[in-house]
Parts: sequence; C-alpha cells; structure tokens
Amino acid sequence: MKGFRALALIILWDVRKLGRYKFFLAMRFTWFLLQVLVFGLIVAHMVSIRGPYGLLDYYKFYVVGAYMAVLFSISIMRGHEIVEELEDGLIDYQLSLPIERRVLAIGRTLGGGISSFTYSMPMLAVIIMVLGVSSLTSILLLALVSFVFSSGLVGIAMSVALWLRSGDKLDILMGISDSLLVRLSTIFYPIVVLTPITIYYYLATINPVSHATDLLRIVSIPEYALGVTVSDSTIMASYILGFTITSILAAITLLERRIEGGYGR
Amino acid sequence: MIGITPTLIVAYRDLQRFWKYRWWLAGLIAMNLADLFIFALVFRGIIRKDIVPDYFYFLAPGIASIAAFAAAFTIGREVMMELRRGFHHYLLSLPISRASLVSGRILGGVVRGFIYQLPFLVLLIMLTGTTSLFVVLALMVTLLISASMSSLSIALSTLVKSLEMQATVRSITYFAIFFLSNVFYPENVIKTRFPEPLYVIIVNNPISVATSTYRIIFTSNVLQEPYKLETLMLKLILWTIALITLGALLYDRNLKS
Repeated sequence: MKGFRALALIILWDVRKLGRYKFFLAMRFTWFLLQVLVFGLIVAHMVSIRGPYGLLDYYKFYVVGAYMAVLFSISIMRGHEIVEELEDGLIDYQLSLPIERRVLAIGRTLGGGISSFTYSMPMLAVIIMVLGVSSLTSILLLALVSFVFSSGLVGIAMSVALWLRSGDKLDILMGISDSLLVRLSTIFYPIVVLTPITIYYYLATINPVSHATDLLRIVSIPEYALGVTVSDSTIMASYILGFTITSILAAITLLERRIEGGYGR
Repeated sequence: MIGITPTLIVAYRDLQRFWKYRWWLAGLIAMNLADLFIFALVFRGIIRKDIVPDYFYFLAPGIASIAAFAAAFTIGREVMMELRRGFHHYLLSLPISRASLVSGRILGGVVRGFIYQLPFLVLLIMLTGTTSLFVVLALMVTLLISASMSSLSIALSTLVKSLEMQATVRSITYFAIFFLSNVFYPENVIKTRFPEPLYVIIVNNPISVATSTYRIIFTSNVLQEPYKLETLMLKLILWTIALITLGALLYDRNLKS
C-alpha cells in the first residue's frame, strides 16, 4: 500500500510539471499541423502505393505516422530532462527520499509517459477528427496504445540518460536515434515499400516504432492498414508491451546500480 | 562606421562558439543524411514518376538548402541567450563600433551556414558528377542563403521582449519556411494544390529560390522547372539585402535599448 502511494506521488510529481511547457507544446502543435495540413496533403497527391487490397489512401496513412513522430519526439525529450535533473542534483534528492528505487524508476517512467501522452492529446484529437474515428472503443484503444508506447520510450530515454549522464553525448545519441528510428520505421511508408532495400526492411521490421504506428493504424483505419502492417495486431500489441516492460526494467536496473556511488563528471 | 578587423573578430568569435554545438551539429548531420539516404531513397519508389521522375535527385538539392538554413539559424538562438543574460552589455563595452558588432554577428551566421553546408555541396557534386563552373555559383547561393537566414534569425530573436515568445516565433517561422517551400514538392504540384497567393509565397520563399537554383545547377536533367537562373539569383540577392537590413536594424535597436 505504501509502495502504491509512493508510486502515485512520483507520477503526480512528473505530471504536475505539465504547465511549464506550454510554449514547447505550441511549437510541437504547429509542427504537427503543418505536417498534416501542408506536407501530408501535398505528398499524398504525389504518392501512389498499391497494397494487397488496392490503392492506399496515403493521406490517412500518413496522418497516423505524423502523430507517432510527434509522440516519439515528445517522449524522447524526457531524457534531456533527466540529464538536467542529474546536473541540478534533483535525482540525488529523489534518491534520498524514503522510496524504493524500483518504485522511483517505475513512477518516473509512468509519470513521463502520462505527461508525454497528455502533451500529444491535441494532436491525437486532430487525427481522430481527420480520420473520422467515431467508435469510443477505438478512441480508447488509440489512447491506450499511445500511452503504453510513450511510457516505453520514456523508459528508454531515461535509461540512456542515466547511462550516459552527459547532455552532450545524449544530444548526439538522441539526434541520431531520432533520425534513424523515425525514418527506418513505417511512420512515413508502409513496410511493403521497404522490401527493395533489404537492410531498411529488416531494420523497420524490428523497430518498435513500426509496431506502435501500425497498431494505431489497425485501430483507426483498418480498411487501409490491412495487409500493409509490419505484423499481425496481436503480435504488434505484444511487441509494444514487451518493449515497454523491458525499458522500465532497464530504467530500474540503471537507477539501482549505475547511479549508486556518485555520478559526477 | 563598420571596421573590417572588428567585424572579423566578432565573426571569428561566433565561429569558435559554433563548435560548442558540435553534438547538436552531429545530430543535425545525421538527420540531413537520413533524410537523403533513407527518406528520399524510399520515397523514390513511391512518388509517381510522371510527377517527379527521380525523387532522390530531386530532394538532394533541397537537403543542401535546409542544411545551410538550419546552421545559419543557430546564430539567432545565441543572440537571444545573450540578451537574456545581459551579455550584450559586455559586447557593447568593447572598443568596437555597434555597426561592426552587428555586421560581425551576421557574418558569423554566414560563416556557420557556409562551413556546415560545404560537405553537403561536395556530396551533391559527387552524386551528380557536376564539374561545370556553375559550382562557383552554388557557393554564392550558399553565402546568400546563409546571410539571409542568419539575419532573419537575428531579427526574430530581437523582435519581441518575452524570451519564450521569441523561441516560439523563431520555431514557427522555421517550420513555416521548411514546409512552405519547394524542397519536398515540385513547382507544378505547388501550383495546382495551393491557392494562388500561397503559391506565390512558396515559390518566392528564399529557401525555395535557393533550392531551385541548386536544382538548375546540379539536377536540371531530373525535372525541368520554369525558372531562369538570373531571375532566381536576383530574387535571392533582393531577399538577402532586405533581410540583412531588417536583422541589422532590429538587433541595433535592441542593443540600444
């Protein structure tokens, strides 16, 4: 019971910081709107993709990808926050609290996931409107998948930040991983399109971003997603769940072991 | 009165400070290269050939424009941070004229954009096998686009008092220039898909002008677009003069206050 209360407090601490980033949110929202209302509309006119059930509506396909790209970048940003907290001594303070390390790691991951998902909600509302998703079950499923995947990403960002413990190194790693993970996934193109470039195809197949994006597509636009997703929906859901659990475990391990004994540079 | 030596000293200082962002630059390079060797390569297979015959070569000059634009834009962030921390008081106390300081900052932005973009230009030359003297013209385009974008970035960083608002205005302008340009889409698509006023804005956006010029120089065999090299150069020169004037005036006004 005590553990749950501590977990709730840690999550609440992360969620309470939401109001600080209104300008950051405004920028992300503008970026997203331009992607959806300008880039997506124009490129959809230029693209022609034939799936197993006929021509693909690329615009609808792309809109889901644009949302995932924003969710990805918002969640990964948490890594920078963790490094700043390390530098400011805030992590020291949190470690000194009468809270178990694993509870702290789980709380920070879930709190970060809730915050990141909350930031992405205006964008999620836009894609729900654009795609005309009217079923409550589908909307709740979209939210659930986004939250679970966002928590996994926050866990990874937190683990990398705790492992590197340097803002500079984190900058380069996050910059490169952002470039590669987003482009080598099914965010912008269906997996069938990647088959001519074998290495890209295999990398996109194992990339969790592909699984999360395609699962969102299965839920929101099943008529266009069938036959062009990276895998079966049950496998994709299990993959994302596995990814999130692994990333939380990694964050727990790093917080319990690597952070002990000081981390000053 | 603009002194050449003080201007160069200020620009050199900005160049040295540029390496402070080496980690961020490494990420930016990775992003630009990923755009070219992953995004463009994959899109080459799905873009209709009747619209763009080879999307990889179509996008490559646009990536070069974006590279110079992004690097030159960093100077505005620094100006913003200096104003925030009051560091400009120190700069003003130096025995150099304000005009030299302002011109040095703009020159610093130009040098940053030029240095950052140079490897992308070399890559473009290697990919397209261009050996003509027009390559010199491409270097001139790089200088002009770096000058106009660094000036715009400085202007935006000094436009409003609130720092958060400054960051927002800079980012929104950055996104608008990025997406409302011809980097990703050809002229005929822009003409048919956008309303006339927006079409005029998009094709005359400095990044579009620079991209069209690079396309004429490096990849004119991919897609013929109805632009003349001399008109494009004239537009870019006019943009550069206008934005340098705006950037210098606004930065100077802020230094005075």
